[in-house]
Amino acid sequence: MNIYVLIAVVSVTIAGFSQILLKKGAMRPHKSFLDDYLNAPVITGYALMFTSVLATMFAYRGVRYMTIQIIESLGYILVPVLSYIFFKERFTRNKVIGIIIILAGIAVYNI
Amino acid sequence: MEQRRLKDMSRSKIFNIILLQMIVIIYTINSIIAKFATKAEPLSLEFFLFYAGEVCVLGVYAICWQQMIKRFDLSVAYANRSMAILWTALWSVLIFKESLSIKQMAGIILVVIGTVVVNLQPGSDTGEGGR
Repeated sequence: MNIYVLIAVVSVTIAGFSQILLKKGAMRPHKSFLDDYLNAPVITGYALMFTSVLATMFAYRGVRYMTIQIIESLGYILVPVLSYIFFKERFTRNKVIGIIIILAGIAVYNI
Repeated sequence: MEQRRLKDMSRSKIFNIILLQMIVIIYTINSIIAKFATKAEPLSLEFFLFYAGEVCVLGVYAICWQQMIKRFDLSVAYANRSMAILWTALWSVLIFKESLSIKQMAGIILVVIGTVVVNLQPGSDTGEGGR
């Protein structure tokens, strides 16, 4: 596998986990606006998000724009799977059908 | 049946979806700045200003996104991000006078339909902040 493709895949995975941490932070009881951000899950989530942005920028060096777009769309599968694992968000009919249509749309747009 | 579901969507949910889309729009402003940045002389003051602008937009987006995911299932909020494809295409047509192919338009329509289907999901938002 092309190393840049691998970096892009790892980057999407990191971005997926960053969303989980951000949501974890968002589920804490609200104390103040600043407290919404200055806590371990959110700070770690932002750090991972930043790492993912840098990794994706790096991946663009060796992979075509279209390929990155397709790889990035894996996030639309990964995030619901992680949300199910960590938050027990259910896979409802609407979610599954909607996400399949979204993925088809991204594929049609880019390929 | 779908029409009935649409009626069932609370006003707060529609309001939250509009807010969420506004945040996705903020995110796509980055693509406009990035496009302008490519026209700037590398390492010039203009170049750095564009990149500083990108960092600022991303920062605003990250702050707003954190507030919005309090109100939605993460999987639903994330699916809404796919609408960035529509907003980015809109900017490229309106601002950069680029044209879209039929294939691209078909892709965008599919993404919009998919996002609507996900949003029609009953109880996908918490209505209020926090859960």
